[in-house]
Amino acid sequence: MTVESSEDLRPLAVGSEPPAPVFSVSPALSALSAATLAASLAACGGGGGASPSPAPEPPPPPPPVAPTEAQASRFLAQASMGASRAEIASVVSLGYAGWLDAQFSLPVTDSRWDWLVAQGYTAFTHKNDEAGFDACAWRKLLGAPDTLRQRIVLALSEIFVVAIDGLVGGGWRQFSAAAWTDLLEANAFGSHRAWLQHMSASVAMGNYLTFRASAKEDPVSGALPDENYARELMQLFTIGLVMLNQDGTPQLAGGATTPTYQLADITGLARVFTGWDFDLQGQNVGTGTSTPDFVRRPMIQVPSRYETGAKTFLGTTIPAGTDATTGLGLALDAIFAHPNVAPFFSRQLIQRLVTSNPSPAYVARVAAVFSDDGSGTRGNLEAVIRALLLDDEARNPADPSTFGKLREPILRLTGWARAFSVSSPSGLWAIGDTSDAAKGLAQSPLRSPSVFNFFRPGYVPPNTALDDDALEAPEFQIVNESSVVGCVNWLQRAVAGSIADLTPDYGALLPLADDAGALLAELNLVLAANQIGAATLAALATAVGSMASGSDTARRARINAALVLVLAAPEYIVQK
Amino acid sequence: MTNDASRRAFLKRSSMLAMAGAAAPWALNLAAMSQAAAATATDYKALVCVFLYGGNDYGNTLIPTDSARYAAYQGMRPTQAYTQDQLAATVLNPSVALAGGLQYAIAPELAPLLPIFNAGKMGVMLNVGTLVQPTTKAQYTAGNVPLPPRLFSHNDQQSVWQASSPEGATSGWGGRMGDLFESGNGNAVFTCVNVSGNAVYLAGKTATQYQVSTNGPVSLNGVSKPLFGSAACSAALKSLVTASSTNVFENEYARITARSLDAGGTLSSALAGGPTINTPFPAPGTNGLADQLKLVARMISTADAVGAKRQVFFVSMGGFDTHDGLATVHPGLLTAVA
Repeated sequence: MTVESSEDLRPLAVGSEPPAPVFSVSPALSALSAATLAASLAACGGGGGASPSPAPEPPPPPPPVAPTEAQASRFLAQASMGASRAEIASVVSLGYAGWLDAQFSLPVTDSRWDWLVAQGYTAFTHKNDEAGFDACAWRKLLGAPDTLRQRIVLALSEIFVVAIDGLVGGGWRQFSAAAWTDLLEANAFGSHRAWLQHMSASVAMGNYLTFRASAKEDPVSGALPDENYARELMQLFTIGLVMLNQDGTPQLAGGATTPTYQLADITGLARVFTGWDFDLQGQNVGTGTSTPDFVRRPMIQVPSRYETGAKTFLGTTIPAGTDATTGLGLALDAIFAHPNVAPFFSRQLIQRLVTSNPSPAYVARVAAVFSDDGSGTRGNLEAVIRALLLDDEARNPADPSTFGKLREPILRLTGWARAFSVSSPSGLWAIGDTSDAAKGLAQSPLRSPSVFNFFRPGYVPPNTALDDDALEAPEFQIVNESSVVGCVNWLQRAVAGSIADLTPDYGALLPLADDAGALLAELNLVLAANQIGAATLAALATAVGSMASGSDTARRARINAALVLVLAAPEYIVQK
Repeated sequence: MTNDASRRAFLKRSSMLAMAGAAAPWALNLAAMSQAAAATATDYKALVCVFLYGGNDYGNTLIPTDSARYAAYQGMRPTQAYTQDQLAATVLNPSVALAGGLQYAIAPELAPLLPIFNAGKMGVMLNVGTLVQPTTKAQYTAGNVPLPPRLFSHNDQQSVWQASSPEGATSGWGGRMGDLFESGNGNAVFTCVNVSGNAVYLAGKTATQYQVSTNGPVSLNGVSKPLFGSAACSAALKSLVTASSTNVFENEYARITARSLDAGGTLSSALAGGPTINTPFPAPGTNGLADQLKLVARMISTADAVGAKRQVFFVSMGGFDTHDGLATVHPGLLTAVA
């Protein structure tokens, strides 16, 4: 499979220190939901996997109608870090499902961790800083060819939230954040259950939600095991607060919701998360943490701190005397089996990629694939992603006035960057921390202010028409009088080449720039999937058309101005 | 509402409060405060809410120092307790001593607040919280009294503090206060001002929070200066980002941008003409809370210029969910607050 230029990315590292384990999903597991995906079956098989002896062959379905360029661009707004002419052509040529197959089969490129190492951040002076992380994160978001995987990594990082400022134990925050993001990347198309295991053993989560070094109940001081992770694992990461129907709506009994758990469940589950600590490979703390290697080793048990008594939660009891690793597995099995997991996760992933207010039926269809990918496997993320993006509601929304979502600031940046193959000639990607609402983007990778993410999935902007209509709009939680302006100001600098050494390639735009209408039509297609209406586009073309033309300097000014206008247009910012 | 009516409403609430005493639900207390701030006065009053995200540990903020209760405190948190020696310099001596020999100290890190307390400009509120009614541990264990909704869920309890109901609340008590008096302000947009992020605390039924950065309003560069040399493109940009739309998401986004551009100019002018703030603040960028409070001070000092008589401000600081780090992290947080 040919991919877009990867000259800015090092080849997949094959060294003595292997990257974080990659959980690969057999193509045989990615059987499609026939009901939702019938039209796309003809394009399958591009993954190259051999299926076990097939049942009697069904009649071949009719060949899918190739997406238009605008449809392809719209699909890429949901399924990638941003459309480009090359990716649009790829979607048109392969079809939606074929493009997904191709993306699922792309290898993971060299890791954030290895980039930090190569840049020298293992120097001991960096033990207690964060230097390098922003760069290694942006580099992938802007440039890695596995654009679907990067989009899923971003989405998952906003559901399973870790933020770099909380990765304090033992130091090496940049490496801990890099290891966490690499781990998300390795599992992005894998098994939800396997992910829960990796997450629960990760140093990043152990530090962030403070269960690393949590000890069994101390009968003398009365200190209890740390409940932080036990609570958020259930509340935020897997089952939520109230019992759900499979379509994501709350179960109501006499108008009231039913809590998923009580405090006793948290206290019980917290006992599972005791005794875990850094794997320093037998070294003392000073030596063992003098290099960052320990932050990507799964945590190990310190038996003296482990609570060996029985642990009861969510109707499950792990018997006294069960060893810690077995107990962890049983606990995660119990959580994973909870009926809320499928709708809770599916709805949030739909919100991250497609629309803030999916219909219950859409949630139910995706949740059904989560529960069973067609081969009896539960929690197959590749199948969930496929079902979610190929669903009829994603492809053919019923009500365009309420369908869609706000593009979060990171995606406004990457949308521009991907469209114009932005590179960092120095290879340093020194974009930095863009969290500041006034001077940055009001958002930066792995810099959520808390475990509750930059925005909550159920956020309804108060005192608005969205509130009147009970429409959720998570991304609006970071929209305010400062950030609306700050983001456009930042993008204006980026477009003009004034952010670090970010260098866009406007080669394809230069021939269009003397014709303002043609220039804006091109930007509308690639950036906005033709979702900026004709009236708006005409007004913008008139303004850009009034600028000087005829020289490359003038053309570049026209391109810069047109880009700012499109990137600032509400009709672009709302992805429909 | 006339001045008399509002005063009567306030007095009525106040008397209810007095009768209810310490048992008054906190929401009633807050409602009474909002009446106190009501609309038609000619003087100026501001309320500044400092919200400590994650939940400040009350126990190591205000510490009982009379011997019986200090012993209880020390017994409950033997490894995390301040010693009596550490607290000696920050014991509070209220003008009217507490009954029964009760005595408190503030954490040593809060020592800079002590002169303010001694000058009679600081009060300590005891027994404030989100409980529905006074609740004993026995009642809690027996489950026979109503408890706050979604107790122990951090984000929900933050919302209960700010809005009296869990996450999903669409108005908070600062915003509801703003509803009462935004009509008395010359420019309603500056009634509820957030110098932190967005917070439901400042959302009213009609009042909308206005967010401002610690350096004041952010101007849209492409509008304030010709966009890549083009005044026509600047005009197009301004029209584009503020245009109404039939799509509700687009329309709300444009509404916020329009408010930003309209209010930003007014406020920027007012701040530019404001007096020098003589209060010593830490160097910019070294203490986020101080930076926010400095902007609040600047806005208060220029409230006249924007016609504001009653304002509610929201500032915040995070990191108070210290878990195992209480003993190591909390003192530094209190130092930053003080």
